Amino acid sequence: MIKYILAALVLGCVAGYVNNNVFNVMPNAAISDTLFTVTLIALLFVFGFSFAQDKATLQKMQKTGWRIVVFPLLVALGSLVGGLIAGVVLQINLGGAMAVSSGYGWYTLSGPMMGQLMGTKWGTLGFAANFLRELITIVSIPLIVKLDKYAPVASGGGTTMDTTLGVIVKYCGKDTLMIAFANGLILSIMAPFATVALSALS
Amino acid sequence: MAGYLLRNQKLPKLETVSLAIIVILIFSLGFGIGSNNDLIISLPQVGLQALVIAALAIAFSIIFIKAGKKAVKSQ
Repeated sequence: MIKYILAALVLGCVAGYVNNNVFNVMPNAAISDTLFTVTLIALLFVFGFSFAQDKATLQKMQKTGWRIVVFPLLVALGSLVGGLIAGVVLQINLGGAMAVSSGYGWYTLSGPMMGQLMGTKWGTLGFAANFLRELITIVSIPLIVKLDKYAPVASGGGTTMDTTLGVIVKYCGKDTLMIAFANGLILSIMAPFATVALSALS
Repeated sequence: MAGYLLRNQKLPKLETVSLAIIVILIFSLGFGIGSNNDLIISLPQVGLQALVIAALAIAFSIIFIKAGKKAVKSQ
């Protein structure tokens, strides 16, 4: 399955690049916003559908209650520590490094925000680091799911409510749907606040 | 809700349907990346730093989740 997903990702990148820089057939937003939103809604519908059909999944989900709140907090803490250590290793501003890692994979937020808060150089870093977080998550799911059933949800951070949700539910099982969605939602709400707060430490 | 109401009916394979939708979703995600010139310019410049931050953030998120699960189990 990962073959199809990677092929779709590469084809999408090429098509987007060609449309934007060579032919300009249609507005970029027609695909990256409109088609994206429509397919995401369709996906949530299909997942919701298969979710309620399966009685065992409903029972499993009731057991995961506590995780729904604690999970994103642990992911946020892990991202913070990861950013801090990366800052030490790379010998760059520690507050800035932690602010970048607290985009939790939401690169369209972290890029512009870091740019505004700390200048263009940090903006590009916020863009690139969070983009790579999303990309690494999609590409590595078949591997990291072996470490822990929920490892891909931790890896995906704020992206697990939309862009990586489909792949995660496919690989980790239907009962991870709710936890992945809640994880992404809570982290996406936290991301702008954490970015502002941590960049103030720089 | 529709899934619950129709839970005993025969339906087309949801697996196939959801895979098809995921492929379109990832395609439009890629489209957004490819058409984002700022992002494409930024990668060669800060790629290594970005990779270190992303990899460590992912690694520690997973470590904390594993540790959290252990802490709950041992109670």
